[in-house]
Amino acid sequence: MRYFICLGIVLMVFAGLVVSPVAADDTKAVSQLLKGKIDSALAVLDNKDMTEAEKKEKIMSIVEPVIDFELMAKLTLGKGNWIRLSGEQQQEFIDLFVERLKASYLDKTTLYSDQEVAYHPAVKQGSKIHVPMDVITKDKTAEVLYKFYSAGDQWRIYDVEINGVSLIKSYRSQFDEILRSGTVQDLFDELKRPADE
Amino acid sequence: MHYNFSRKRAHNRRRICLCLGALFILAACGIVSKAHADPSFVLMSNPEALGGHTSPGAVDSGVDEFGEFEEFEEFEAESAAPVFDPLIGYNRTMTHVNDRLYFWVLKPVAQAYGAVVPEFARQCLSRFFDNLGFPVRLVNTLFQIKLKGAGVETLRFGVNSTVGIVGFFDPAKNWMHLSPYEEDFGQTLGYYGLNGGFPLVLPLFGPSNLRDSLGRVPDSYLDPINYIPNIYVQAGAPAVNVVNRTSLHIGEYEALRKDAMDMYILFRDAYEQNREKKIEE
Repeated sequence: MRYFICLGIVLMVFAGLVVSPVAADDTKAVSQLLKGKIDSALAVLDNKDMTEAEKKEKIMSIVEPVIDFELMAKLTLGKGNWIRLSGEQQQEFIDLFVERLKASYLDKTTLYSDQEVAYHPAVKQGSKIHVPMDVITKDKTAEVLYKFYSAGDQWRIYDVEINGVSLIKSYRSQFDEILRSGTVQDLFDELKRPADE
Repeated sequence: MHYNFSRKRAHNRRRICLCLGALFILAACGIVSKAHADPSFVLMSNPEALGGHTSPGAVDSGVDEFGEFEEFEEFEAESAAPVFDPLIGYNRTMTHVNDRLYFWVLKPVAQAYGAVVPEFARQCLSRFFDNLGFPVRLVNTLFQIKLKGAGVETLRFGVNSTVGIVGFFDPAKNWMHLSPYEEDFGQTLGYYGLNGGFPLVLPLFGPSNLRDSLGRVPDSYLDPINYIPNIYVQAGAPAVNVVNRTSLHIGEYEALRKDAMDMYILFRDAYEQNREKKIEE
């Protein structure tokens, strides 16, 4: 029996030694992954031959594999609100929100054409990896933070912070407010309402 | 001589009154924020606010889904207690007023100005005004005992005011890689543990909270423009600053606003998150 306990401890220590260098490599891999995506997106933005619509389509095809839009939808609603929805409503919410989020993401990306990105080393936060960077435009610098989680065999984005403002949190507070005073249908109506100018 | 003396005394008395008033409101702000942070206070007013109850639908949901939310519990704390917002009615109205002011007044003026003045000149002017914010940043870095920040700010001011031609250019950043330390009195108060109190939307300035609104008073004493003995300059310079800055960022407010499902809640939340980060730094 003692032999097995000893063996167990030795194996665990060994596993720890093997795992930690892998974890260190993860931060590098995630940084590389993000840098690759952003570089190709910036190249599309600088392309003078493409129309606005073509650019948007191209950029979405570049970033879509690394952004977990469905998870983001769930997180913005939060556990408390999510479990109040029926299965059908949950699906409808995901569809409506993801569409909105994609449009909003593309609007923001194409707003700044002459941007420069300065990367900082990725940071491990528990089981997540955060990649901070400075996005430098005309006369100011925005601190942007991409947050990755491990989705099985790949790393995917679940939140983005701009100058400390988390995308998930800012949607969450609005959904909370709408659902506090209204119904799920009110929320869907808001999501369907075309953005006004 | 005698005349000067009494005027100075009156001036001092006014200052003391202002300071005492500010202190009194700050104390009130501290009490309010304390009451807000105390869970028993929240419990008293709303027993369901802590989310202690479970909905009937909870039993039906799969265990897997819970796991997903548990992995990202960094967001779950957010909705635990509702935001203490006693002036929400006023705040919503003022958000709407500011929004209309932007579209009806500020934006058309800034666009007309931008059509006449070249972008290069507008960027120079924007940097010039940034450079004038040096006393506010320096004093507040010192209040927070951020000596490196104070050094960097002083060096930046020295370099940009001379080599950078009275601040029209920013050689400190471009050549020496010295970025400014954006500190103000609201952040100083936050640094020493004072909460925001409650959200407060200011006319023209937009979202703020009690702490940061009061923080504007001592900061205004450090604004060099307020020491120019000409009422037209004192009123005109900030107006030019706002129009000039807006002309460089047309489209950004619109984009943020377009995302909003509840404009006031979005601005309120984004403001607090941004301030929290700045205070942390």
